[in-house]
Amino acid sequence: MFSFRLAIQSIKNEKWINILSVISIATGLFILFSVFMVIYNVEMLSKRLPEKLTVMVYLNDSADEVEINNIEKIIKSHELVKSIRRISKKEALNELKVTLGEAGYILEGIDENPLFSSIDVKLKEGDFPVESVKSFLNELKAVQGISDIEYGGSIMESVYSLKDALRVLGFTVGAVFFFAILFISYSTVKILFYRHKEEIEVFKLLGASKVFIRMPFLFEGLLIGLFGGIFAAMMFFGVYYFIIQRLIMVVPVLSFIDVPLHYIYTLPLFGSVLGLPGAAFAIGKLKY
Amino acid sequence: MVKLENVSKYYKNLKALRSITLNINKGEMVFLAGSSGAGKSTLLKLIYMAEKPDEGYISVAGFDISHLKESSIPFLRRNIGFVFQDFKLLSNRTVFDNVALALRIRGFPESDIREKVFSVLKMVNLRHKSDSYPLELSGGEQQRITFARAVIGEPSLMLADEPTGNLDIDNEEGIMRLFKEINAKGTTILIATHNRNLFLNTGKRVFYLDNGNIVREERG
Repeated sequence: MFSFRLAIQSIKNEKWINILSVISIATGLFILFSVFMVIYNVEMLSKRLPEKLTVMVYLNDSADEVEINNIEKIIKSHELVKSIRRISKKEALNELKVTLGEAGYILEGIDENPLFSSIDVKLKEGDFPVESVKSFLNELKAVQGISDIEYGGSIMESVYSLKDALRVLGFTVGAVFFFAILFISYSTVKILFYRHKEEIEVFKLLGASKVFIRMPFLFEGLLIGLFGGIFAAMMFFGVYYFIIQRLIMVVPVLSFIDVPLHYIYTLPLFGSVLGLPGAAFAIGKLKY
Repeated sequence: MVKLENVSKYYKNLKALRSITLNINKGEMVFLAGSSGAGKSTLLKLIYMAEKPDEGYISVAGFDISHLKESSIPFLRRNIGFVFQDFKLLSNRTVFDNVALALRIRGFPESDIREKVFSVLKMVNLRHKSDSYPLELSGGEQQRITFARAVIGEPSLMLADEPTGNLDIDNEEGIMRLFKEINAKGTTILIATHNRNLFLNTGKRVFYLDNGNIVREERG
């Protein structure tokens, strides 16, 4: 296709301006994708968090079997609850002994089991608001036979707040870089358009349609975006294999980091989609 | 082929053309003569719609320019071949590509383009220069390339604005010979020039422009 050939020729002839644009777009996409990765990981973490957190419902010593069965029934029937496990006073003590290990001797002088019976509640995995967990626990507190409830509420609240803040930050950074990439594509094609002004005049004179004149520039914008996207993807693969993976090996606590590599393949497409409108704006209205 | 009726063109307060009326028949070769600033280029621009008239009616190759939509301008121009004093060749393209451009714009398949380009390059005696770049050629050769580009689309009308302005006498004669050849095949030609040698003793109609007016019409 002649228009495509013209675009390739122009990219070759205007090497430096195009290389700079590709690098700029790649950097923009890389930052955009990095922000997306951070948000993605916090989202994932927050979804898995309720499941990881154990809610311990401590029962009154005076609670009889009927009351406990009722409590279990109430907890089980709640939509947030995945499973429950009842831990008797004796089991609690045994677990404590196992936990203490060699230091278990400190329990030897205690005649009466000081621990409470409890119900270990596992929550479902999901993106539900921290308020719904809170309100569930408040409901439980009012149930007869429950002495206390413990859960990692503060951790959950912190993660949820972080998630909300990151969403806002992500949206803002995303919007900024979205327009930055559009602008890079716009200004590159605008410069090229002015450089080809005489050529365009000849095209017009020879009876070229507006589509014929525009196409090479649109292809050029598309290709700049595409190459920017490919370069950004390569940068991200590099960072993933040479930095993130090594970091996880050295600092195992970071193993929660999840890089959805399949999203990286969308970067060239994303670059192209951003490069095209930038070029279209740059050409603007053509007049004969 | 070309008809202008009471056409005027203003640039702000300056009247570039004043109520011009002229009629060029199909297959004619006509000259527009006059000194610089007389309005020759403006008149040509009106014909290929680089400018719009402020008053009057123009029709070209069957197109009623007065009511022509902007989207139809390319189709009008594909019926016109252009030869300019400054050649308007693309310096970063080979001779072949410069000439082929006129066909590529018209959507010709590449297989046809090659044959046609070589054919017109042969006509202007520059077949052997097809891989050269315009700046590697002399002024006369560049003008012959422009001529080849203008005729390759087989236009019904050719417009030339000072086509020999940058040429020596030998090249001038060469270019005029090409115009006569193409005119003999039926192409209508309008040449704007201040060079009287181009139309003297040709027997062709000459319109003299002065200060935006056609002051007289005579045979060259």
